[in-house]
Amino acid sequence: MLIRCVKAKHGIKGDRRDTTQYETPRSHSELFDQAKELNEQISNIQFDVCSELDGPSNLSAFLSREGVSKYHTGSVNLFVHALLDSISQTVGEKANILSNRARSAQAFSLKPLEILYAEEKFRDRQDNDRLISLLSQLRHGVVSVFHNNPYLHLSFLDYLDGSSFDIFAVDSKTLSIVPAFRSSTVALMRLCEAIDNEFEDGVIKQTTFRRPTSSDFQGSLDGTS
Amino acid sequence: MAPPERSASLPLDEEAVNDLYKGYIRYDLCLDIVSCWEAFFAWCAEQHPSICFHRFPVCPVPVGKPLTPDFCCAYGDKYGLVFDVKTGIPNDQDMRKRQIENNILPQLKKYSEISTFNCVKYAPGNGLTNFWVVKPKLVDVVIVGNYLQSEILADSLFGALDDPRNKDFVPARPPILLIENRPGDLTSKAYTFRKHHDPRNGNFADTGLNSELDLGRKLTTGDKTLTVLPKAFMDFKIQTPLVNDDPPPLYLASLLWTRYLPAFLDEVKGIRAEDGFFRGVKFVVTIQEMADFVNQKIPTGRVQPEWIEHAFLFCGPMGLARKTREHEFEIILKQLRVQHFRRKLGIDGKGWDVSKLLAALHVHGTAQARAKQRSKAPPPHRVDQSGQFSLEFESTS
Repeated sequence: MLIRCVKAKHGIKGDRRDTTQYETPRSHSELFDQAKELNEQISNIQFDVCSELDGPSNLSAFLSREGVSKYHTGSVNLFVHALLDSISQTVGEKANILSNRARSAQAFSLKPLEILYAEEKFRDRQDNDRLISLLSQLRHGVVSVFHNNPYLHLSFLDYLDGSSFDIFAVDSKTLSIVPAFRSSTVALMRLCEAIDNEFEDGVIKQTTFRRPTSSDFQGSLDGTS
Repeated sequence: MAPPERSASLPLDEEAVNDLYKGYIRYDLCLDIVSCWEAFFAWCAEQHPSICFHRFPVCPVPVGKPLTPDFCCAYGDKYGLVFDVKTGIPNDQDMRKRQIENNILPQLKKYSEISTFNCVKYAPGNGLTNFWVVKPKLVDVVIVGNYLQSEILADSLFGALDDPRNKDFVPARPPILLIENRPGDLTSKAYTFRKHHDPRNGNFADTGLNSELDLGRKLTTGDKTLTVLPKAFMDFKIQTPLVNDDPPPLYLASLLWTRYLPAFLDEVKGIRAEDGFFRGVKFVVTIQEMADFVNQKIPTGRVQPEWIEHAFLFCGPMGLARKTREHEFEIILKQLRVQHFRRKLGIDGKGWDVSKLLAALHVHGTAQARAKQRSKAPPPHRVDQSGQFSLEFESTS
């Protein structure tokens, strides 16, 4: 089975939101590889499912990053079982990671999340400013910046349901999101989606209160740093 | 590009806004420094259970009120360290001299006389356990200064201690001056701490108490440093976003309006954000009630009702809080739409957040109220039923 991309909307990064209509159909892997190479993201695709790249279509459908999916023509069975089931599983897995993250008043009860990037995203103040600017423009919340140079620490309050989060750019490849006393799954999804749209998709990982380790201090005390 | 809309009749005193913001930044630096050391001693305590640390110490002294240094640490009953963070020494020589002689030296002397430490013991694995009263046989006072002022701080401090006129304030052991440092190019995200090179500087006496992490052996005068990465201290900072000192009202107001007041409404008043409280809700709260609520959320927290009162009074001129009676305020929780107010106040520029907005609204509101008092003319903005001046909040419903 091959997914042949017919049309794709590129360029969530920056202001570019170009729709590309492919004269020559291409596989979805080719499309996504190319987008990664160009540092672009694909916001949605219209595609055919077929057994050969130039073969007849078994299913014609639409899918967006937000999970909006539309059936156009072809096999309903394929649409439901191959596409919707897979979307449901992916969303379910993400929801599991993002749910029940609120902290309690008890010490060491933080339940942080980390977004890990393959490349350096937070090298300097300009990168920090990019994140501040992005979150400041979200109409459903407000940003408080506590520290911006050289590391970034801000908090984001979601006005829709009162969820709030501390956000740390702890190193150039890691963004830590620490939910406060109220943290809904949907608010975290909104936040992560906004960050993903600007900084590419990172891998989201659950962590716990980070207790310092010897490597945090030992090397420096030996005078080796 | 069209100039920003300026609905305010008075120009915004941007210098006053910046002064408020500088205090906010300085407090956050102090919070970072305390969090760095909490992370360090938490790690030490896991290796040596006799080590304990307290972020909100209240230490009894033989004469006078208990003392509240910035933080302290005890190595069982053998050795104690009392820390004081000094990040804002006046650059003016006369003012600095007065501050050193009138405030810092007497404080230093008192801190050196602390003999009873109320600490919090960290237990390996599950962290915080309970308070632990220890009476160390030997106590040193550590002053942590900022690298930008390291030389003037060292010269003024040790110079004042050498001055025979100050002999009554000279502690039994010389204080230890540590300098918080960051690389000049600011590319490293780490904090580093080193001992100042002044030969009059004191010495740590923890040798043998902390094995390979002894500060006495490792932080000798020279270029050896203790480096703390943000990942080591960030969770401590988030867990405890205040230090043992009255925060600038701007700092606490930012925390209250974006973190604690929404949680208070939700948990205490039973009003949830989904019910629309960010579209605007008024409620009454006492400063004790609010301090208690914040302290419940901060492990070993020692937030004082007066700190809350200062923050509420700070928000008065912008119409977010109104004193209804002694120790009681009416609070307005609404969306703080930064871009909207930025345009209304005629402020250009990027990077505005809640803290800068609150600073600007405070300065603007205070200036407007003064102008109103002088002229008795009707203000250009709404006057609410309480008679307080406030900017119109954007309707978000």
